Amino acid sequence: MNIYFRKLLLFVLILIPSISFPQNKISTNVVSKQFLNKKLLTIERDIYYQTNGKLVTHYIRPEEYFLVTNSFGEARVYNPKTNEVMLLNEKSMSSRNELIYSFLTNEYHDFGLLDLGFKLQNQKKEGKRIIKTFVSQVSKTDKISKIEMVYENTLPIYSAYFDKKGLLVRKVYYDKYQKFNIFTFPTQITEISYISAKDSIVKRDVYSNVQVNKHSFNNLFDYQIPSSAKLVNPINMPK
Amino acid sequence: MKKLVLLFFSLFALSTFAFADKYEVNENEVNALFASATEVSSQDLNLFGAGLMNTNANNNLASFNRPNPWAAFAICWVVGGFGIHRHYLGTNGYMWALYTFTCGGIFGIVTFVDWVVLLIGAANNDIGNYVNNKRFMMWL
Repeated sequence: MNIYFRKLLLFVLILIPSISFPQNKISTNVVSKQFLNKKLLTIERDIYYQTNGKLVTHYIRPEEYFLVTNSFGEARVYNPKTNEVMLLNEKSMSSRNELIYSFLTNEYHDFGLLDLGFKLQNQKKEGKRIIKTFVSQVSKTDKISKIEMVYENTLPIYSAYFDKKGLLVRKVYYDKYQKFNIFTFPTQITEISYISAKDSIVKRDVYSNVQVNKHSFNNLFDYQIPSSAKLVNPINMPK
Repeated sequence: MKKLVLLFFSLFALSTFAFADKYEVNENEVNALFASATEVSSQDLNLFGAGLMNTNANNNLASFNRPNPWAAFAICWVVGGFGIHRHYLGTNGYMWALYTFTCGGIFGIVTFVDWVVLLIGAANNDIGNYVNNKRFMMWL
């Protein structure tokens, strides 16, 4: 009896983590368009994100590349045309920087601003919206000194970035929210950056075909870079 | 009394509408803007950077054969998020992909440091270390 009980206990202990921390898989297509001076640059990519931190980004346009990274920032960039792979180990390449991660983990409440040295200065209510004002604590030479974020139904819908002189330099609209079984996500993000009194850059990211778990449209979650790929080490490359 | 209540609700509705205007993007305007633009291909990434210079006061900055420090600085300021300044300076063909990936979540810290080092380089008229640099973080 005792041995059966132990086996049962062992089985339950093995089972608990897999029940408590299910691995979610999310895939989506993103088309980014950037406009300035009558020119338009389009970048299209498919994203395959797993909650264990593995992220595969398949760049389709303007050129095909694969970027495989994890939450620690260990990244590999693969060019299928030349069969070359480059290894990177940068914190900034962490899969946690992907917008999907912010919305999956509810980090959109401050978008990591507090970690970046910003401080919540003010919070007020305007109608059904909440407006939070963050101010930079890092450096007086920082380009952005104040960020205003507007929330509706606890979700961010607008953010405005101000420079040291208090001038609006960038604003971002988060809209077309879609509710999925594990998270709610804005499928259209529009950024307007002001570079002078007359000129501005307009950038729009459109997320489509957002699929969660079994419904994911492709099997690139477990994408492996071919072992025959030639390693290109950026550190040894001549300047 | 009824008029007062009506006035109150009218003002409330008006104020909500005003907020909606401010915090919602004009989609038709953005669509029209994109429709009027000329598409740029990957082969034109360098030219895209150079072409952007025409939007600034000094139109002939990008016409130099070797990258101009102030042009690189200005391009970084304008389209740093897509890494166009790196293509202008000369780098690996996939650098745009890395910059696109990193600019979303961390408010373009890499781009910001690029901007700072290019500003210093431009002030000293020396950006040699960043020309044809293949590293992701060109200042390391």
